[in-house]
Amino acid sequence: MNITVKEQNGCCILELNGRMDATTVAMFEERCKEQFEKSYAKLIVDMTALEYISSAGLRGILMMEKTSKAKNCPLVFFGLQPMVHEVFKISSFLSILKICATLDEAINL
Amino acid sequence: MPTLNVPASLENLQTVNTFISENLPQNCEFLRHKIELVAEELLVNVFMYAYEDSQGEALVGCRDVFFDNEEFFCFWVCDSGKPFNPFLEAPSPDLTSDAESRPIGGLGIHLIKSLVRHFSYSYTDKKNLIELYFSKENNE
Repeated sequence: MNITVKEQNGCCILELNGRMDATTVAMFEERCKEQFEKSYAKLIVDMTALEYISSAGLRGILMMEKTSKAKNCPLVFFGLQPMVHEVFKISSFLSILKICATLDEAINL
Repeated sequence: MPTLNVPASLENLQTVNTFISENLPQNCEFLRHKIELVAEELLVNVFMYAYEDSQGEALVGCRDVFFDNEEFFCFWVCDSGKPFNPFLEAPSPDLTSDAESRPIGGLGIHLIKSLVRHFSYSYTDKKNLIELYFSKENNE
């Protein structure tokens, strides 16, 4: 998995590319934690190019959602691909995360 | 029947994914991510819990199965660790709490049960065997 970090409208955008699994999820957690320290209005996770996620990825996402609440910095996801959407749905993550269809929607949420 | 020996270490997940890609029937491409997912969930469990002291390994394999009048692709994982039936012994996940109070983890077996049509566990000759059956009919 590759992660590109960008900034737009006072928000931090993390673009994920590839697979979030037991071998790559630590990278996602590290990048998020770095950005949570920078006082952004919110962290936006672009999942448009994330083709795969496992329970290890879910574990990292739930940990970052808890961190987001503790830091009072919203974490917003957009661009879920079918496999990721199905895994989120089965795990009942759709109801506990902020999920948008597009980047614009995520910025304006 | 195609099989692959997997030493118990996370970096071997990529080798397993290659094995899945090489052995997935042509008309079952729609199953690829699901099979990669169940393979990762089962193997991570084996790597973390099956062998307490020794560096163990798992054997994975796949085959086509005709079962009760339907075509399935069966993916299986076998290990020589301590007996463990994850379908009975893994705790049920919390799917209702909000993010702040929801416990971390415990979703792997729930994902497997949700994604396969049939799952089975057996312990024979000091080996755990888990078989997962995916319908070859694409209903999506």
